Amino acid sequence: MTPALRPIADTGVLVEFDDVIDDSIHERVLNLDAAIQNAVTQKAASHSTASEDIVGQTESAAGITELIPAYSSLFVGYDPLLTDYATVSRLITTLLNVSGDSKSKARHWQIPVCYESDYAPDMPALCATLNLSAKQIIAHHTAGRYKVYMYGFAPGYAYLGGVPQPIHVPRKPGPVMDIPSGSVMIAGPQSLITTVVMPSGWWVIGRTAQTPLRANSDHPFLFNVGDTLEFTALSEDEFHSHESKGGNEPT
Amino acid sequence: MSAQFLIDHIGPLVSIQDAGRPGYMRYGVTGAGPMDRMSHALANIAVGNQPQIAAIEVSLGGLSLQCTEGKTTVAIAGGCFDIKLDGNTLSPWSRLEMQAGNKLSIRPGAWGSWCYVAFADGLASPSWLGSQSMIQGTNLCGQALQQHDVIQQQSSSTAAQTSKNNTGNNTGNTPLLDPTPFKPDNVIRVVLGPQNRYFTDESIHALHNEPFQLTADYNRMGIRLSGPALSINTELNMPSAPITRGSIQVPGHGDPICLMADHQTTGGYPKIATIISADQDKLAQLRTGDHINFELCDAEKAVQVARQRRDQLRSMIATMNDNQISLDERLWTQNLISGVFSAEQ
Repeated sequence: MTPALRPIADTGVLVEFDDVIDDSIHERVLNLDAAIQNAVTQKAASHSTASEDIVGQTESAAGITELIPAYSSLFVGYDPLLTDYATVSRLITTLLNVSGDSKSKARHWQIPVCYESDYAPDMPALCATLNLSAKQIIAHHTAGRYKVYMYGFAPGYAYLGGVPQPIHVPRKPGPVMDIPSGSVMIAGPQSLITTVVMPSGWWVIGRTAQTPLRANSDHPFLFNVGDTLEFTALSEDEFHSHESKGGNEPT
Repeated sequence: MSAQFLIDHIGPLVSIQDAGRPGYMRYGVTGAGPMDRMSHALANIAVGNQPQIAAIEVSLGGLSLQCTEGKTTVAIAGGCFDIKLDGNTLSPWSRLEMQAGNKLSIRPGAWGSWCYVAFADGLASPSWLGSQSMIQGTNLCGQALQQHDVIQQQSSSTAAQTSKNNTGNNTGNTPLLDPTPFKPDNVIRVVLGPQNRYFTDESIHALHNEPFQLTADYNRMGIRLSGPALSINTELNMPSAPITRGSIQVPGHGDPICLMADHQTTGGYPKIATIISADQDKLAQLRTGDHINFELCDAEKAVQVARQRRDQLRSMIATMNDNQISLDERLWTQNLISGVFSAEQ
């Protein structure tokens, strides 16, 4: 299916690949995202490497300000004083046929989670709702292989697809205030690690010391969209020693 | 010595805003920045700053400051607010000198919802990802300003800035421009989409043929409108998709919500249309109860309008210069003009 290009007023193009959540569609989003990033990077470096312009598109990558990958669409933001809809659309159409090499850039993460006591305030209610033991819920959550599909809601909130079917559960009827940072939550097929204190209607089943937002770092966002991850269970004692260590490297 | 100010009174939604934090929406970080970007740039330029520098964005809740230390130049632009310096009324768009003991009071006036107080050299405040714009509901970039907080002017960093502050021929308190011609009308231009296909033909027709009204459900994230209910023509099963400033999203209740400076970056409700960037400032300056009419436009025209708006800002700056400032400062300001436009985004 050829993606649809839709104008977003004078500041962007939304590339819509489909209307469904599907891993192969998401891979196409990531590929175009990576290809445009490559063109923008080349544009920035074009003083020295103009002759190595492999896609022939460095000029038309001028004025691109923002790329937001989501489940089945990519937003390409531009500055209307520097470029326009037709120019950006031509760039996108060309790059749809270029490999962005997004697969090789994806990393895999192991996130240790304490699923115990106060760190899992919704576990008792969830056990009742799903008719599973806490042990079973933890086993399912740690068995899942997750992918970062997109960010949204608040800085560093990465939507992780891949929650195993037996623990799919609809959101709570209303949001609960002041969910602490580092909370590991689930709703439907998605899981999420909170990075700031915010209200949420998702089910809090654990806490990690390794929140994916390092506010004081030069690279504050641990995950890129397209990265994969898994959760491992920590006891409360292990969690406390982990908390003091910090740090996280991709595996 | 940099000047210092004490907040005597502060209304809700007043915050420090620079031109915003572009480039991080893919990580869930909104662009932020001023609700009315042109007025923010104009206030900065009037004190000799680069247009993207941090200033105070004042809401209808108002702001009162007293200078407790030092002296500096301050400029105000935006809506038509009621501005008083030590009890004396000034023009709504003014440049003024403040020194220890002076009290500045900003209250809602004849029209407008936001105005900007820019300080020569900007403000010293926390910065995150290259921007001093506060991030609502988090402490990632400082906390919300409160009564009795102290606001510190940024100390000047370059020789050029120092010289412009010490030209010695300050004109005292002077009006910048008459704001009357810039009072917003009620026509807001939109480009249909990206998810207009989900809406009934009647809803699309109503969008650009019937008036909508701004409700009190209004903040820096968005403005909820009331008017004809907009309805979806199919069962909605849309995966969450990117949102941008100006998106008009329609949740299940059928009332459109215009997403503004602090919008979330993705969401699952369909967007019927997007407000063109040039008219976003205008919408921001309207008030609860005001009516608007949406007018359809295409992307090409919207880009033209954005470029016309740059030209409008250029001519406003030129008029402002002719009105009042010294030759040295005029040259300085002209050097800044090219910087305005890349920062506008």
